[in-house]
Amino acid sequence: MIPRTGRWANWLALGATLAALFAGLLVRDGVLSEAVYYEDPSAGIAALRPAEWLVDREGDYVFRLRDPAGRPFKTTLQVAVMTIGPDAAGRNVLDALTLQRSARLSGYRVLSIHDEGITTGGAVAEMRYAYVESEPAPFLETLPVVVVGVDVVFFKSNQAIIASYIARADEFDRYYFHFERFLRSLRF
Amino acid sequence: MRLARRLLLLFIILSGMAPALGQEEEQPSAAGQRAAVFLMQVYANQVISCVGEGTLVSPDGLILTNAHSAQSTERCRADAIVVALTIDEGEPPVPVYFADVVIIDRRLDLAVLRITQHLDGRRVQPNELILPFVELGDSNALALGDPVQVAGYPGIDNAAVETRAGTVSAFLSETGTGSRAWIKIDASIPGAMSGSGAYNTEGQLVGVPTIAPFSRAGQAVDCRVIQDTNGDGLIDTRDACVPIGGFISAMRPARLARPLVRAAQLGLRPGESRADRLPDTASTEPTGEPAFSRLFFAPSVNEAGQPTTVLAAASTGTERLYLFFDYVNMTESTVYELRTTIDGMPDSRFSLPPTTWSGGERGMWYVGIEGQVLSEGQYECQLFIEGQPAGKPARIEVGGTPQQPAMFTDLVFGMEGGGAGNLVGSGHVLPSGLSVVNAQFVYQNVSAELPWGARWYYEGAELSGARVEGPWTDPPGSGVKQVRIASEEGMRPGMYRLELYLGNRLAATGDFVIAGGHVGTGAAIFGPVTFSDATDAAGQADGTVGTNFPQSTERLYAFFDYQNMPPGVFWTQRWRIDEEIILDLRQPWSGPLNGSTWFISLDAGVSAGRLPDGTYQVELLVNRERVQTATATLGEGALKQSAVRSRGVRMMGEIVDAETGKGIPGALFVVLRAEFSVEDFLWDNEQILASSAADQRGHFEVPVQLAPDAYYSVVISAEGYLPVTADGIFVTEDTPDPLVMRLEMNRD
Repeated sequence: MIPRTGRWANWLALGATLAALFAGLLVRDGVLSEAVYYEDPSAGIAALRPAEWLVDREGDYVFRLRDPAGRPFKTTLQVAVMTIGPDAAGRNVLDALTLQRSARLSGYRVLSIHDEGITTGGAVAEMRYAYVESEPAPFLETLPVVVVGVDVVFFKSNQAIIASYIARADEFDRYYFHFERFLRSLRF
Repeated sequence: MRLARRLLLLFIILSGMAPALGQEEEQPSAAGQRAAVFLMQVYANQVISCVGEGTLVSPDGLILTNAHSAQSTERCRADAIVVALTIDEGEPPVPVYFADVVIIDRRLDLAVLRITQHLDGRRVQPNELILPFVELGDSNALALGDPVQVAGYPGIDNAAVETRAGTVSAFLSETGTGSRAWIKIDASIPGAMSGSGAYNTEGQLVGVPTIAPFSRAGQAVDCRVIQDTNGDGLIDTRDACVPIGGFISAMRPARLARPLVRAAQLGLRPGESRADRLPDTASTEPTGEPAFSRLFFAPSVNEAGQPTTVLAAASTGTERLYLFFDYVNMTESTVYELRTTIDGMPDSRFSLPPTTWSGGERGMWYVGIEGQVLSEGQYECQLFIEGQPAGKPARIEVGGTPQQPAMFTDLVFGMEGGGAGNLVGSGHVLPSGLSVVNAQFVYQNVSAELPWGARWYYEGAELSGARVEGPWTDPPGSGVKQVRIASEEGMRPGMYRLELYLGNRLAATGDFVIAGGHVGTGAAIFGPVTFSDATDAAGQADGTVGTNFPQSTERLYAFFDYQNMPPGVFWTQRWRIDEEIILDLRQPWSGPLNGSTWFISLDAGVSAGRLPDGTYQVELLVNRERVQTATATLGEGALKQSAVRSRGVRMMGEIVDAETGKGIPGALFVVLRAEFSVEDFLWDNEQILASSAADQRGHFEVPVQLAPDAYYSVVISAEGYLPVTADGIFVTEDTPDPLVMRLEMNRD
């Protein structure tokens, strides 16, 4: 028979453990979703980015942020710039992206294009698309994954700024908040 | 209870189908909106040089469009044509496929493309596509005032497909095409919609709205800069722009597109010809500036496309009026335009929007308005080349009581020997070597001593010593008169013209061709036709030669000799299969004056692989006169039923949750083979005709066409929902295509 004080101690220990667990989860989520400002001085573009994501600037984009823990596809936030003419519309930019990507992405397919009702302020067009990402190394036994992306296009002078979020189809919604925060904070 | 549920579900499905079955009529152009495609001519993979529109005219991806939207030119550089489709209503089109040109008619500015590749380069497999399409309607049945709807994309911006309504305001005729060469519509249609589709009240395609973007001093007018085309990171004058161009007020009737579409459906196209093997030096571009001259009006046109007389004025009640003019130095890339005013006010009916030239380098052309009482007033017709006025305008007064002026009409040409002073010969094509050519015309209300004259021309230059001038000495009043031109060494082959004057006024004129050898009363221009299925390196008939060819024939060549055929004279090759015209190609003669074994050919396109069985007839025409014809048979000598288009009905729609109205992704729509009912269905694949899984929005599309005159059963199933089934869905020839359904499912 455990004395009453002992029972209280057990309950207290259990509660403290749960509280610690809960606090740990909060801290973990906080760390994972922690955002810091990133600014690319050469392009004059800045936005809040996930703190733990890796930055690179080596491709056909201004910068790209990728979740290093992503397997087998690294969830990506990206900003690219395209020179456009004075008569260009958002759709023309998206058409050009589609033509480029169709030639290099497997199974590339546009899911939808919107130019109205875009919640992001200042955006002129938005496109959702999907493609199949395969491991390029033929010796690794990996399944291709379906990737979904969304491009949001902004115009600034004779440039189109294309903010993109690309994620595995089954994780697209889970990390979408990163993109929403990214767009809300985007300055150019 | 179970029976009640089935009945309820049957009610649901039938009520869902009701709108598609016509209880709520959709817009006539709704099918046209689904079949509309946006075309982009691109080079270097992504640079858009020109845009156009088209309409899917078959489920397997044939697209009817303008020729100028399909061919690569200096202005519209293209190494690929991208096809963009509307994948979601209300959204701009999305690039999905590449298309190749199947057949093109520059004269009509029409072309048929075929979707051949996905954007990632994968080839489209036979029977892979089942796209929304429209059928060609009877454009001849259109009458003045009939409503039409044009479905297309109004711009290259973010615009979604839309419909513009208008009415038929006039019918225009022109050289080479004849009556109803153009249908005028009074609607405000943006130039970007050129090549799209115009629909009658039955939703059939009756016309192709057409306008050619033109340039001024080499720079396209209304040209949109949308890309950094040279990739230097700057937008400047070195970047190419995408021409759009004006507003459309005219369309090519579907009647003219039908042979092209038919040829494309059969996988046929014009093949190699002798002209393709001539050295490049044989075809030279004109060096001078294009120009129009000698504008005049005529009340009617004869069978050779010549004016019956020259009008000085037209009376009240005039129902047709033709503007004739001469042209020089024109090319296939020249864009011309006709603008007409009545008492100074623009009149869109007797005007022609910027149009690609199709009449060769030089000659006489006409544009006429037919089939309606013309408004009274002073008509002023001004021609334009590349947006700039070309020559002086022509003016004519329409109105007032009919006058009885002196006039010359009905000019024909021929040889003496018809008895009773009549002429023999075809009227506008005469054999070479004649020592005398006579012209016969009717004169009316000519008074004695009235000054008149006749001038003869050869290849544009007046023949010296042939001019007639003086007072009228024949019996006054009305009658028939002849004038003649003689040549001791015989008439040389070429284009001739006679102008008749009353005073200083041109009263009648006519062109005729002298060509070929003299046989009987006619001109033997082209010799008998020989067919073969191959040529050798020298361009001689090779392979099987004769009139019967096996089923595997890929090309059919027609060889013929020619004599005294003047270069530049228009001739036509017309191919028929089982009496149906599938190719009508009018072009200037590009060969030398005399020669043997000129050849033309019909080619099975890559997709078809071989020519279809049938009775093939080739006709050769000069100046609209048939001068040679021959027939050959392939295979069984008649088109097989499979090649004759059979109409099927496509089934598509959306499957939604009855409570929320949201689409049910993954819901399965199954159509059973006609011999099975729902009761028989055991989820055996052999019982299934086709099935379709709904996409993320609940949209489905059955990937086969349902043959008419049969009953079908359907089963719709989705996880967590009560299945929906229905028997006895009867598809007929009159069932709307596509059969669009909205199906509601209840939670289990």
